[in-house]
Amino acid sequence: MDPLLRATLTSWDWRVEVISVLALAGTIYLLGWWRVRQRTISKQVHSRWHAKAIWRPVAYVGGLLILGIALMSPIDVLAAQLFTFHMIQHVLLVMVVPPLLLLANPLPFSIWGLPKSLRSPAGSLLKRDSLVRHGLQKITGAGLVWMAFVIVYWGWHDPNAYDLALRNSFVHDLEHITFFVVSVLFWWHVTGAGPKIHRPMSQGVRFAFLLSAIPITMLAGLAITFSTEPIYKYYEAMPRLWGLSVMDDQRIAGVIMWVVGSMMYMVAALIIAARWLQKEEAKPSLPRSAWATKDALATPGIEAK
Amino acid sequence: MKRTTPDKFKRQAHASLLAAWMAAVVLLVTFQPASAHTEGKMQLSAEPAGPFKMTVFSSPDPATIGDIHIAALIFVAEDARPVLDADVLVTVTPVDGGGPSQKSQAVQGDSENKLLFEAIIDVSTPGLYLVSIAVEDADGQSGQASFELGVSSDEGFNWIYLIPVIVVVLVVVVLITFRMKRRGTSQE
Repeated sequence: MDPLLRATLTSWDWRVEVISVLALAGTIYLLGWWRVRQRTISKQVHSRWHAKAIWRPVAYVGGLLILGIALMSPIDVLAAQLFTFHMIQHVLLVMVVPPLLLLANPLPFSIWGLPKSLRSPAGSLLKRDSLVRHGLQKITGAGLVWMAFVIVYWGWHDPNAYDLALRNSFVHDLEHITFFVVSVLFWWHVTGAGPKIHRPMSQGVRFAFLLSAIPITMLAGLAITFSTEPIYKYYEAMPRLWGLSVMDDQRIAGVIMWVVGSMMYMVAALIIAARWLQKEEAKPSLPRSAWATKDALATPGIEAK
Repeated sequence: MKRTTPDKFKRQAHASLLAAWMAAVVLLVTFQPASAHTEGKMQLSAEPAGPFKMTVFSSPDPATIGDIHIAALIFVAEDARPVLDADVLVTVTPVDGGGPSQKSQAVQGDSENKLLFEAIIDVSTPGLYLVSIAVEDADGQSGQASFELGVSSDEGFNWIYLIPVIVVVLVVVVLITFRMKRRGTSQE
């Protein structure tokens, strides 16, 4: 095997704090899902949670695995050498992992996965009139979340902030945590996962909300792709892997952000649009008597007096 | 039904365990042990060293007595191709001549990033040191670069670590304000 490829593929950073968070989150969710499933089968819990659906745990575990890959695999280790790797990592953290995790409706299942003694206190944190619920309601409205997404996404791509993140692992973690949190909040509104503390979005608003994310990634991607000089000076001090120049690396990273980043929201928006249209089609058609009268056919839209 | 004492004890034990785990995770994220993940302070940035160039990191930052990690990315000056097969020797010498030099072979296996050559040197006395990195590749081509590193006896404080504290304080202040506001409204 090519020594460079071998060195790249064997560059893993096994971080105990990441593994412990992923393992605990996965165990609690799966345990909760299993408990709810057993109760659903015996009709003790309302079936609207779709606990029988196997795709939920598959999506959740898949999301956790991709999160682990983004944070510990060569993608993370080599993000400091190649901008392209860093961009792939950000796409995974912002556009792939959050929807996968939230499609699994993690909160209710995770509460069921807690020990019995903690279930009720955990649930009461979000009950009606609780401080946490009111606080969350105030700070996580769709408009604020969209604004936070813009600030975080564009803010971290400022050359100074980005270079600082590359030079300091704590800042790098902070960058990833903020990316992840705002993305989870964004996709929370889109997927309608629990806790349902906001008024649910209609399909049309959901569609528009998804489309509103496209300019955020597209504009940043375009700026990076068509820049005529290296934006992030840090990469100029790095060896060039596979003969990729600093500018080529920057262009590829920009295209990933522009095309792949926008595509994720576009695909989700198309799925929402398809479901929206399906619902419209399912509506009962107007009775023939309502439109097939002589007058209505002669002058459509004008009622006969 | 009234909650029994063992139930209460169980709940407290579970909550304590969860809180301890969360605190451990936060501490690990905040104060990650020094590792060669192209982290620490960049001491040399694409510094010419014979036919090569070197980008060198030292951690912890700021440097304190104890284990100091020196990690180097070495690449060919002409085309910036990474050098993976080379002998890399790190030498740490007190600048004031007050002690012997320490030498350590930098190897790739010691770092998560296998493109890096890493050496760990135990510095027991505070002071100013000259860190030299000498490289010789399989074809016998060699080069050397060096930088000065101040090592202190006590751990300096990195102000960046204050960020999580500030965030927690802000959240607490917001929650308290919100609670007081709600109480005021309900009293009215």
